[in-house]
Amino acid sequence: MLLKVENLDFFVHKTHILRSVSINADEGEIVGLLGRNGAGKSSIIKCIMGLYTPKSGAVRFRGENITQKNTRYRVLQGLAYAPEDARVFSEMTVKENVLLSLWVTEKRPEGNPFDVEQGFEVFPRIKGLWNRRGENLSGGEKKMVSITRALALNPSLLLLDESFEGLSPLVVKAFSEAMRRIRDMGISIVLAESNLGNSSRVVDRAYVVERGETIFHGTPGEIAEEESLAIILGR
Amino acid sequence: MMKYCYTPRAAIYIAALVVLLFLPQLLSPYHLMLMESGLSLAIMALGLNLLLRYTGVLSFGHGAYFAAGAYAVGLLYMYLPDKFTFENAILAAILASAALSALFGFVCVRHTRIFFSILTLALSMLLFAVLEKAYHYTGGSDGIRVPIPLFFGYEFEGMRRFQFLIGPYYYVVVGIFAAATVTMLAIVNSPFGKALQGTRDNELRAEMIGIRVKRYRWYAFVISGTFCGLSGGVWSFVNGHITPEISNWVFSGEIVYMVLLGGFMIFEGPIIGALLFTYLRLYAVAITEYWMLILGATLIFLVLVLPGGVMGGLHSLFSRLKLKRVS
Repeated sequence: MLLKVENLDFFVHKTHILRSVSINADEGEIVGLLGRNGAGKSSIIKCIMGLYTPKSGAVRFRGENITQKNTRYRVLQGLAYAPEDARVFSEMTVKENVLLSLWVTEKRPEGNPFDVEQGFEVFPRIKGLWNRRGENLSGGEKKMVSITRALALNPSLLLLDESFEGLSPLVVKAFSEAMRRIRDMGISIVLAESNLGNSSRVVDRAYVVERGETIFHGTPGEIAEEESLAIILGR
Repeated sequence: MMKYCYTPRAAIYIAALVVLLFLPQLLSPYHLMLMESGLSLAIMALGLNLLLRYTGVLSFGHGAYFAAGAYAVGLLYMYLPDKFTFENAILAAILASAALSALFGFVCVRHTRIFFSILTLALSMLLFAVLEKAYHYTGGSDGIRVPIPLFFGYEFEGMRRFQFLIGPYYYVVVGIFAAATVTMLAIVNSPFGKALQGTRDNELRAEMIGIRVKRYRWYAFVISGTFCGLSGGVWSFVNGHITPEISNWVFSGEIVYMVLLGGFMIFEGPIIGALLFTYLRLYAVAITEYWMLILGATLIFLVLVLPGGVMGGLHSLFSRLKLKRVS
């Protein structure tokens, strides 16, 4: 098992945000976290990345308990994260954004080192934007750069938060294809998404998250058939 | 390193250097000495801007590192007169400021925003108190005289101080200033400089791509402090006398003023700011005893009308003219 999250409880002050959340992801899998806005999907991802500290429970990556490790340690173990708002460094070019981690991180996760051409294979459009500054990119382009930058860390698990959010249908299709290419490169993906239609194109299985709990687990087909989830996932 | 020294304004840099080298033929000795003072302060302004512009933290205590450099020169003369050569003095200035900024920076970089600024200010005042009160070791408020040193074994025998300053020392200052500018350009364009900008834009994001945020900020602090120390060392010979006032928060505020005056968003802004400040203060003092009012009014004008400083204002003016020509 690549990632195993066990009984995660997370609080913000006295508010119970995550309630005994357990999920897992295997090698070469695309796993979805589906739910409404505010359901707790991003909190799960941030707990996995070490940006939030859970009150109890454990995060195991390749069998190692990394719950108390800092974000940098997790990155060096092979976890990478592309957040919802992309957060591209605006004054740097796309090239600098993507290659910065290669320049400054002395240790790298094991495996084949990142090849820029691989990044271009995932998002061919990036090649044409290579020397453009971050501040001059569209929302979709920023997301592409953010994901390519995460890939440059040579991860074995990529955490994507609302990657389809605000994208036109044509770009959503391109992103879906990009995710399949990333999986073909041997990188697993955990994808947090509020839209079942978009995520069902790519995920192998998904967890439905509601009010900080995982209330259902199954394939996109099984989730679509479950009547009780219709109100949550907006079918 | 050379590939990081590239700038689209390289031709302007070379032209400026040529002008600087010919200034002794164009300016009066008095203005030449002012220029020397301005150029040595410009090294310090470049150092401060590495923190302000590229790392995103504002120090109100950089006078401490300037003082560390200047006092290293003064104390070397006081306690080891046999070793008092220019090369030893500059080396001592660099080492003392690097050590002090490494120590103070270790404390400060754990914080950002106002907490960082207040810490830098408090630590610089600590040094001020030591320099002022430890009279028997530092000369207290009387300060220390800095004479003309030996240059790589060469003695300027019989040369009066002002002759030394408008003669050989001017070229030494220009040389050190040019080397410091090119070094800083390489630093900000290097992967290290880009990583600093990453930590400035988004600390969390930077950490997520593997950057050691606090360590990088500390490195920047030490480099910045060392530039100030070098500046202090060079300036101490121009001024000929050093006092604890250079570690006071008022002087640290003046460094920030220089950077804002020139424009901190543009690499060359702090250099222009330091030169302008040298002349502005001089003429303000000459006009009125309330010269601080003039500096204060200029600062208000800058913040309200020219937030990008002189260079920022010129840059936006040229951009607008360019746009007009295109349309």
